[in-house]
Amino acid sequence: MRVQPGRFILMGLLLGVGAVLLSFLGNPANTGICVSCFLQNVAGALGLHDNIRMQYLRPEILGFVLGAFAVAVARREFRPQGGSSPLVRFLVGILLVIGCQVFIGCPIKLFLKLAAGDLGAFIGLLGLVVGVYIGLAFVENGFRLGSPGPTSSTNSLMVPLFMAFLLVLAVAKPAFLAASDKGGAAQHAPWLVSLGVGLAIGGLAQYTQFCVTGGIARLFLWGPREIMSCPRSTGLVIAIAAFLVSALAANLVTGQFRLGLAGQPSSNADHGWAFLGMVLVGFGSILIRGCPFRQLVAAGQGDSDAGATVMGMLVGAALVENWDLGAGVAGTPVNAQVAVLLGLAVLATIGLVNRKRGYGIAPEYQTGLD
Amino acid sequence: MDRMDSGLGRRSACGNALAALDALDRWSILALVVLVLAASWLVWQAWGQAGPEGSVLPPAAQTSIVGPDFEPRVDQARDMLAGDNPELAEELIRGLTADYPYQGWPHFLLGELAVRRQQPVAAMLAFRDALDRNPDFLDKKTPLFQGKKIRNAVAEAEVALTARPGDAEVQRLRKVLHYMKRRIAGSCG
Repeated sequence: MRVQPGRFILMGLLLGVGAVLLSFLGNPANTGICVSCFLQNVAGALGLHDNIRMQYLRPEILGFVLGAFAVAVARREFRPQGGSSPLVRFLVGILLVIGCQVFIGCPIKLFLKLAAGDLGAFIGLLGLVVGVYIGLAFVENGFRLGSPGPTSSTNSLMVPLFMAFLLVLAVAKPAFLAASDKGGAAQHAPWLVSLGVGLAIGGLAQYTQFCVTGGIARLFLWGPREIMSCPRSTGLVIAIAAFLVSALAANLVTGQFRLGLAGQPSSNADHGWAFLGMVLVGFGSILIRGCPFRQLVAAGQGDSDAGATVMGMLVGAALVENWDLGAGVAGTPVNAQVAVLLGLAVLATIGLVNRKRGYGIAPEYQTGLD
Repeated sequence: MDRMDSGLGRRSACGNALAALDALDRWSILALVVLVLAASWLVWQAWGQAGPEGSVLPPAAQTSIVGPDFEPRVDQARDMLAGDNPELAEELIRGLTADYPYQGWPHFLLGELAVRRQQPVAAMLAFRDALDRNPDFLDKKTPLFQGKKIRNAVAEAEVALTARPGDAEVQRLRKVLHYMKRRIAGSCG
């Protein structure tokens, strides 16, 4: 099977240029796209937490799911499936957002920070890679959450319909929908631009099955030498590289590039905790087959297990605000530190309990490995 | 005899279970123990630092009742500053910080006073106190926005700190400097 680099380059370009453009047009600095931050905004808009600076129904999130749904339906790839430990995935979804917010950003924002010159993000990248490596150690040694099977369409339509409902709310703007007039959530690009970029990225991500942690995992699984024998691995690496390069170029062109370790937006000096936060994200993402962004896209194409993770991420986003589980520019609160350590312990326990010893990679994890 | 047999059986079952553990299991269990111990230690430390009410969380946003004299006194202090009367202004502002410790304006005025006295580091520290009490000073969408003054003070503080040798105090101040730069970078405006 031959790799078709065009679509993967386009994926990376769209993600890189789109995210930097959104930042340029009003989204917070280095936060053109961030799944975990935006889910916090959505949770706030729905009244799940009361931080008046984090309430906005981010159209990008709705766009990712609805774009993926539309393309999946158009390509006849909307496959209702599920039943692979949804509640465990729900819990891991909560932990993913906690890990992201201790680093202050999801894996996509990590690359955006790198592309904007934030040298501290390299420590997050190292953490993500270590987390992926730990997760793969479990996957390669018989970890499985059960094989997903066909399920009813009703089940799989829940998340796309929920997002469509949120889209209606975003247009109708009922009084119960909260919207910040100050703080990070008050900073946003024009609504239609955000939605358009979200739809395009979601649709293309469905087409390419783009996943940040998946791309890193495949490098470990196949190794750089064998990469040409695995088109999807090659494609994901191409997409991630195109994403980084195009975001860097866009930042330079729009004057948003600032090289340095200190004084960067959405960062702090607690690099050790940022590292551990990203270990949590990498580890959890591998156990549930995909980074937070991938979970949104998979939920859009009918995977109700990913839908359970998305709901978990939404709850996690609310808990981060309500229980002070995320880091801020001032540092990482004790609650967040304890949450990261216990989150890693929970993932290790899930890994231990769900192993079939003496077996290799389960078939459901091999799907798509070409 | 039966009891002894069953005891031996249990021990051997336990031994079998332990023998069935592979390297990944053993590493995972070790990591679990370390993580749980580390988390417990953090909680223990936080309890040790808890206030008299036993809370380990930072205080919630204070809602204080501002007396009717607050704004006139702030205006008066501002007039004193504008009228180049820093001694009297400082006296007024110190009184305000004592009477209204959770309000941002008195600290902001202290920062302005330090700017007038050409003490950029002191100004930065006062502006930090003001921002911690009222982040709206960095929010362009509110009438309280004071971004330019804060940004200038931080820039001047950076120059002043660069000129000083790297003793422990300067290290501490540089942390505040980086904190303020992050606040400015992430602000609305």
